[in-house]
Amino acid sequence: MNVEVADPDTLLARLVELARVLRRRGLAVGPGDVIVGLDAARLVGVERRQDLRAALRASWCHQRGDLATFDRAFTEVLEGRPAARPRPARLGLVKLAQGMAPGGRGTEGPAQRSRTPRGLATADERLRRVDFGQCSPEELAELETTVAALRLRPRGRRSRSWEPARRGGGVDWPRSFRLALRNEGEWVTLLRRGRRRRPRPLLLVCDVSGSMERYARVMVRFLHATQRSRGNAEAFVFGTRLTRVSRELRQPSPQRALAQVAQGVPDWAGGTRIGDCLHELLTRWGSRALSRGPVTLVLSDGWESGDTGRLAEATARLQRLSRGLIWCNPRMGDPQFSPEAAGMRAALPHVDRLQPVHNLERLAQLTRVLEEAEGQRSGRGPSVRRRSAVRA
Amino acid sequence: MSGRPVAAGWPGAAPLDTVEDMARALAGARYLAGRDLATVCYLSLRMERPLLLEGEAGVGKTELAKALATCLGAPIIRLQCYEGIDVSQALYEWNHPQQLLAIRQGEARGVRDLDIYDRRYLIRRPLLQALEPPDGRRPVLLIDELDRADDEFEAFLLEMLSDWQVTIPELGTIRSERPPAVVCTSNRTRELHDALKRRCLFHWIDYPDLKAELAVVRMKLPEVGPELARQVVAFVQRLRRLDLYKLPGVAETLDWAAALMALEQDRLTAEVVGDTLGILLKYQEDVTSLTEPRVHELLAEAALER
Repeated sequence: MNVEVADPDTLLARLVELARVLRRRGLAVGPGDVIVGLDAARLVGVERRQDLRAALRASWCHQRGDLATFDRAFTEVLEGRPAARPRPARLGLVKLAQGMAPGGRGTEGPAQRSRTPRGLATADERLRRVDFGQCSPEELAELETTVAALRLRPRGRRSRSWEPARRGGGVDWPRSFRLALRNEGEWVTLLRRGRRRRPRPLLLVCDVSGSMERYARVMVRFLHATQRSRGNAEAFVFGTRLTRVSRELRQPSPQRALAQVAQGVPDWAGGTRIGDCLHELLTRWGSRALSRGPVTLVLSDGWESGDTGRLAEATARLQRLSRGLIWCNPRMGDPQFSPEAAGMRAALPHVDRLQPVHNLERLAQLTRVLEEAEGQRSGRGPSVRRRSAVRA
Repeated sequence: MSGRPVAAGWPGAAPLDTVEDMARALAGARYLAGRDLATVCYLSLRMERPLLLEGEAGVGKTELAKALATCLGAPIIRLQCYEGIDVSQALYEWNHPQQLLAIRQGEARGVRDLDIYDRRYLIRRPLLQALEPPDGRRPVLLIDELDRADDEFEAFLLEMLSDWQVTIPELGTIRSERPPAVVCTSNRTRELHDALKRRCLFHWIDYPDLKAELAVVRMKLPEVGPELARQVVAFVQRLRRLDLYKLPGVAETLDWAAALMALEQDRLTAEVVGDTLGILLKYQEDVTSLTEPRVHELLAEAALER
């Protein structure tokens, strides 16, 4: 049963309606886009539903992820029948999102406004060393505001593009020439140019399975803070399945970011299949997440319920593709800790550094480790590598 | 209604007045496009909007631009993007040695007001060539692997892709009344900026299904026997369902079929597959994961698929 669109006014009304539905579902389809869509629709004609759909899709979708949303809305609005609904948000993360402390941009409490480096000294002296797993909800909320203030200040890698420099690099001929022209053709001095530095991409992979439940909340908050302060971070969470959350975490409000993450994560606080999830990261997202030598951060306790051989293989590959692979294990807060979880043992040979993150002090330390991993000059051996601090 | 009939702007073009025409013309240029893709190409020409193609490697993004050029009887200008590409490599550069020489000559002859920033000293890079084609023929501009360029470069493309003009500070704004047909491709190693995407018509090219891929092989490599072609395509289709680091694209299928021809094989055996697997799979891990029993299994499955 098709909705009639042959009449021009009805067509416009339908397109406006469709655009409205799409906007509600997160596609940015503005009035300008509606005009483009209308043009396209008139050019292909409305007789064939497939052509109309292709025309509107090309005009309004901007990436592969938009296609499914678009098709669903198109079916509903232009074919007048309900399409399958996306699944509702899972309870775990929604609760988690509700429990989050507000802010993250210095809107609340004196603690956030403090300019003390890395926000560390702002937290209660005692809280700095308390294991996240043993914090009360109030303490956690307080910690989160501090976590949100952690910032990375990377030195970056040398890119292929140029910028004016004082010395070194090469001669900047166009600038030198223009300078010479100003001096009536006399070459007084040669200006120089150097390679611009760009921050390395950061790849964050966080375990949100049942065994990490006590820590995951702070970890996801850390992901959010890091993602917000860095444009080029890619973030994934996993339990039994891998979910990309980079887009969701770009939300300024941590609550809304978390709520959106919750909608997309099917297996919150379930089992763990680290090997499979890392493997999926490499195959499905490899070209995007691993293409410009990222520093990779895995947050997990290494409790693997799948095949540890697969985990070892995936970790090895991840390490080869990364500038540095840092594995953060919150269980290292336990004085009796040794990397005994089978998954952790399998991954360890391929990890450049094992870093504890069970309390605020360690988390702040992590930001320094990341900066260090990133700032190394290529050519020389990476110094984070093979300097693994196994014990906390 | 926007846009003029396609043939009006492209003297060498086949008639392209409907989506069917477009599909037929592309097939004539030896490119088999699905109905959706033909629709998008048609709209791109008609609305004079750039086409943004995404999809896995080897599904024919770059090929489409070439086929489009053939349809339109137009030359193709290709800009291969890479990290650090800038205006001087993409748009224009001043020929400084020539300019210096001119200054010295001018001095020697006592010329006072010498115009150093004359078009004579302008080196035209692909984008400028596309706006002002040297031979006057309206081109197809292929901006290949745009995701490899830095994001600043995208911002610079905005002016060009929306208003068909570029600005050279020393000369002013250069505008084209007969803009090129533009095809941008991206492998999604990073996300392109929304502002750029909004100016384009977007299309995702997926791996073709068995029937479509078979048609591509038969068209591109008519000398491959029908039985071998069917086996090859069915095998590759099976491979794409496996959990591999890098799935083979249509380009790999064609390479493989051509290689089998060169080896004078008329049907697939596990031995031949094992010897030539490197043409399909580009990661050592993937090659070793396909053990001989696994290849036998896949061949048996592929044989069932008719």
